[in-house]
Amino acid sequence: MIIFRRSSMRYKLLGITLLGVLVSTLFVFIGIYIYEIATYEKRITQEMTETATFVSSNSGAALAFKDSKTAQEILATMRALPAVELAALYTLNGTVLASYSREDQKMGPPLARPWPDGLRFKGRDLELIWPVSEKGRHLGTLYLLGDTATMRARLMDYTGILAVILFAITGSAFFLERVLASWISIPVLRLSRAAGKIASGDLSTRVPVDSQVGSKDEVNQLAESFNHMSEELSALVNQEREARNDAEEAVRARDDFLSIAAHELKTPLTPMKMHLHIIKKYLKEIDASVLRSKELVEIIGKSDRQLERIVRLVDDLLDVARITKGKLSLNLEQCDFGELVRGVMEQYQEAVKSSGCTLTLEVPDGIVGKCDRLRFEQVVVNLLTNALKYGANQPLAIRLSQDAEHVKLTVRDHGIGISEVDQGKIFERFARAVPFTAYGGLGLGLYISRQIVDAHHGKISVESQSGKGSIFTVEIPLKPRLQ
Amino acid sequence: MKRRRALLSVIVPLIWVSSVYAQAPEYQVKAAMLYNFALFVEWPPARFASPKSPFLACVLGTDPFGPWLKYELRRADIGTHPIQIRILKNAREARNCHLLFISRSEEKNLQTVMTELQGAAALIVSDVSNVRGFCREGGMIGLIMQGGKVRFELNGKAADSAGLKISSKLGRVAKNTKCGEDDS
Repeated sequence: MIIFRRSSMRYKLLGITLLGVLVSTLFVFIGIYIYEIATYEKRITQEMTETATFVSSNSGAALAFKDSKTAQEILATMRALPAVELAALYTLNGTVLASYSREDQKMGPPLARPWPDGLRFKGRDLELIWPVSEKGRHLGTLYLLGDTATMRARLMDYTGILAVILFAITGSAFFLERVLASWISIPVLRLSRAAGKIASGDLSTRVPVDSQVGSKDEVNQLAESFNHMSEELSALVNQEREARNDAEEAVRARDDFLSIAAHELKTPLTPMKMHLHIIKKYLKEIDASVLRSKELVEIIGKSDRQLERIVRLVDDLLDVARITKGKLSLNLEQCDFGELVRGVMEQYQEAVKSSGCTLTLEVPDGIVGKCDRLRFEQVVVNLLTNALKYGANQPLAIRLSQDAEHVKLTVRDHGIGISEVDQGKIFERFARAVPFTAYGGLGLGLYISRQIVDAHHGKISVESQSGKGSIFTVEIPLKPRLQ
Repeated sequence: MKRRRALLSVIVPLIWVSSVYAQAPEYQVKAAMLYNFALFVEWPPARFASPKSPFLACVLGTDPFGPWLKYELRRADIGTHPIQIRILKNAREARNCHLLFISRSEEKNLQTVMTELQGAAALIVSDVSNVRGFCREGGMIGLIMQGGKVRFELNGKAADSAGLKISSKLGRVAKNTKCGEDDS
């Protein structure tokens, strides 16, 4: 059974066809055999009785007058009855008057008187002893021996016919199987192969549909559906591919634009800054009373700060352009993290003062490790400027600490905080948790910071509640793995 | 004792008969044949007063059978009719017989005898030497010797006109069924 279930569909079809036909043929023949055997006894009995009646009613005179020639003639009519094997006529004193043998060899067996009249089966044969009389006068005895040879021959014939039929059936079943296979299993196999091709990416695969067969044939129907499916699928995939190409193209164009724009903006800034420095230097040498130099110094200082801001924005844009092109590389060196943080704080003394924040600084000495000095400073600056921007006039705490493997920087403000929904996206590009109109900036600071921390194999995280301030934590391994 | 004797009386002749059958006396064979003829002939029902009335087997002329006729017919009935044997001298007496055997002793006045028997519903058998002549005169079965065996010729026409029905089976074992018709 398991072998049958494991075999291919065409052999299943063959098996079913064969089994059905063979079983029904066998049943028919078993029926014939049973009928033949069951009716045989009855038939031969009847046949022999009729024969005996006929012979005995005709052989009376021959027996009476001991006319063996006539008796022989009568018995010779047995030739028409193939069931009769032996026949003999006995006179009253038991001598054989005439005998007949189908094979013309055997004589009737000698009968001892008084013989029992009647009909009895002797093994496969039927023996019949019949009195011959005329007008109530016993004249002699007829002996008949019928055998089952004809019956057996007939059964043998049936068996031969059965064998021929079974052979023919098996042959035609194999032929039928070929036809069925071309109708059913081959189309299914074709479908399965096509499905395999589609799965491996060849969406142009189609299976042939026989338009003559029409859609009443399930396999043909399946083929049609399959082709429809693959058409839809390839259309969908093409659409998707085009959309993605468009999107990628757009992103590439934006990034290119960003990069070019940043470079173009940056180019004039450096000479402008230099020019401002030169102007400042000259002003120091000029008498203060002349040209109202004190006001000029102030104006130029403001211009310088604005310029500084533009430089930072452009630098951010340049960083983003680098990051998107995968060109952010670190220049690792020995860093004293405390010194770096204090340096930044010194640089932003003015800004802290003007923001009105009360600063708590906990920066111990001696935390040393590998980092990109400028990039780490950039992270500190980003976090600090964010805290000053969103947490003005509130306490601000900056802490530096270390454990066995990491240096940890915590920047805690008591500003507007970040909602839980926004916490997930503030580290994305151009992401802003606050309206653009209320607070300036491009929304790139945290994105760049995160990229820098990631490049150091560290992590940056935020804990915050709307209205209650935020805590940003940066953790960097003291010895970053080299990529 | 009685039963034993009866058994012996059957068995002894049987053994004897079967052992010497080939050399059985001519008139024993003929006696047996007379009986057998009766088995294959139907008489008109009017010839018997009742089913039990006797079947008359007659011999006309000198009885040539000796003991054999009695022996062969000893226990037999023809159908339901018991057999009675009569030896006759006069043809006129023979008209009532069912089966009549005409002895050779009557051959010389056969014509007279046959005229006397005209119209009698009797099966007339004889072993006269001129069997053809006997048949022409209306004899029905003529016995002849052939190769040491007794055979017979049938005159179906005569039997028919006498109202007797002779079974075709008897015709089949007869040497000839048209005795007296063709003088070839």
